[in-house]
Amino acid sequence: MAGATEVQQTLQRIAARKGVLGVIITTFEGAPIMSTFDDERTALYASKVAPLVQTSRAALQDLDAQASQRDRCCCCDLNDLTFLRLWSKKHEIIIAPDRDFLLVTVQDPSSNTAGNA
Amino acid sequence: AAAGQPIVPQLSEDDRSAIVKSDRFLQFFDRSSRLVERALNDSYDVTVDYSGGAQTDS
Repeated sequence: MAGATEVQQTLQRIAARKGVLGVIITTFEGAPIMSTFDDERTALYASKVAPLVQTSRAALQDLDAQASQRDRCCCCDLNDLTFLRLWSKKHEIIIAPDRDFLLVTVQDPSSNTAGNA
Repeated sequence: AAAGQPIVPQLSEDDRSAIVKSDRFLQFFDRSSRLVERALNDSYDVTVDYSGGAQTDS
């Protein structure tokens, strides 16, 4: 339906931005749903990013659980990961996770600095 | 190839197209794509620029 087409268009728009190498959407377990990378790269990123997100989320929830033993409150949920951004010398990986899916964007930050008016 | 191919779970074509049409997915995508576009807007190369966006005159 219209929704899926819009998703594809938005994905292409993000992928076309200066410095962006590719965009991948996976399930929370890392199964690829959509990608602008080839299959090999998609599998590589998905296999590395999904466990990273799960570890990060678990760490945050552990921290929060420790804290809330002191300030127990009946109405607050466990804390949750909303965004993960990794900078390396060569790449930047931007991860927007939710409970079920991950949106992973890989960019080359050096190609973004020139001509950024 | 010594490390072997990365192992990722795979979905069938049907599964993928069903997911992409689901409300749950569209809700996720709406939020996450906006987050990412915003993040891309204020990207800069931290390996050279630690100033947090020093002024450049134009």
